[in-house]
Amino acid sequence: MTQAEILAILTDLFREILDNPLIELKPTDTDSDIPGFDSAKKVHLVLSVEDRFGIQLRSREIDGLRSVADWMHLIRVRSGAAA
Amino acid sequence: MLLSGFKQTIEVGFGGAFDFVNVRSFAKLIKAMYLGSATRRLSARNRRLIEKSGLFDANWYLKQVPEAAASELDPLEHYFYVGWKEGRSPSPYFDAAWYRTFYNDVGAAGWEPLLHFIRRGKARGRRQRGAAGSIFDAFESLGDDCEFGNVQRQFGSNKLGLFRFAATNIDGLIAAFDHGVDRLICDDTIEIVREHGEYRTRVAPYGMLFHTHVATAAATLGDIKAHEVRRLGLLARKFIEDLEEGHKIFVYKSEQISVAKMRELASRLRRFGPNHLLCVTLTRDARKLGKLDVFSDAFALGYIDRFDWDMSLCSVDLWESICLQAHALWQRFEEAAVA
Repeated sequence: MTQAEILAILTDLFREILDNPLIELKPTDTDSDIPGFDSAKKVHLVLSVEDRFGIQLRSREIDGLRSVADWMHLIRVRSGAAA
Repeated sequence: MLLSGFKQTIEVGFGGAFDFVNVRSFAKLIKAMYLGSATRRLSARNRRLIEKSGLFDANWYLKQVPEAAASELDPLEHYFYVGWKEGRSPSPYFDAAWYRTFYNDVGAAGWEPLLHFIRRGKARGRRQRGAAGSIFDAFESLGDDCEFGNVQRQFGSNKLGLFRFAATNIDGLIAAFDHGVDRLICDDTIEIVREHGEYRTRVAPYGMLFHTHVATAAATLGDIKAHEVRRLGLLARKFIEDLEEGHKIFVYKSEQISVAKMRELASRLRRFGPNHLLCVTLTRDARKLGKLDVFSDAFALGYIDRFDWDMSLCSVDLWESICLQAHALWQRFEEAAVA
């Protein structure tokens, strides 16, 4: 799976969780750049990512997620890019 | 003649109207220009202010920015003239990039964030945030309510935590540890209740109540229960991993707490790993405010004048003081253990 494909899936997940079809993500976006994204929504996103990519994220990995690029990197590494 | 010349300048500058409003605007402009100028130089005064603040750590900075050691500038000069522009922080206690982004007037004006915070920001109630992965990110709330979770948010820390936005009690926590934290959250143990227009999740055997952040109008009770089993299940899994890694400082606040109870709770945390417990309680003794009593390498007690989950009423400065001391304390314990 390419980085672009991972970004597209992540964007869909963010749009669904935040109920906002207009969200467009950039790898450099951080939590504060995404309207409405807080710790409560982050839990939803972790669950959705785990379901969608068939992975289980560890606590330290979740704590290290600060930008969209961090999510993309972690998904690629943990899923072996085979999702 | 000087005054008439001054008035003429004002009249030219503001379309000919010399009045109090325009004088105030002009004074503000001069003040901003002075501040901009004053914060762009590492004068002797600015150096003293930064060093006295405790927010610049030369050794830490050189570890983060090794190329600074080869520079002709000393570490503070390097940070002040080079480092912050490259997104570097001066210490683990101050995230310069976050500060200039969060307070975007600082970024827009090109002011060095640390000096701005020291000279202006702190007095105006602006908050500092620790550099990535430090200070308030190192703490995890055990309750007894949402206050510490809100304090963390004040300092830009938004880590996920099982009890971060929950009501708990120390006996319930101890019992949950004894019966198995991994069995805390399941379909049989939780019930959903409605309070103040929000669904909340109750774990009755342990007297715990969790915010769901979902309005009762937004979902059905059945949907919420299934969702909460998954959500709290994830947070419980994360909680156990944090306990096993032993790198967090767990915080429990209570209006009254005994040393015996603290010891009991600390011992439950220690079953998993080298975890630390910071308890915070109320005191009327002004000499104890913001101070820490250390009972062992496992737990300590901090003192505060009042509790309030409303951050406009909360003693955020005392929380900050207590947490900084606790963080430094357990860093020293861990360094001594490794040595």
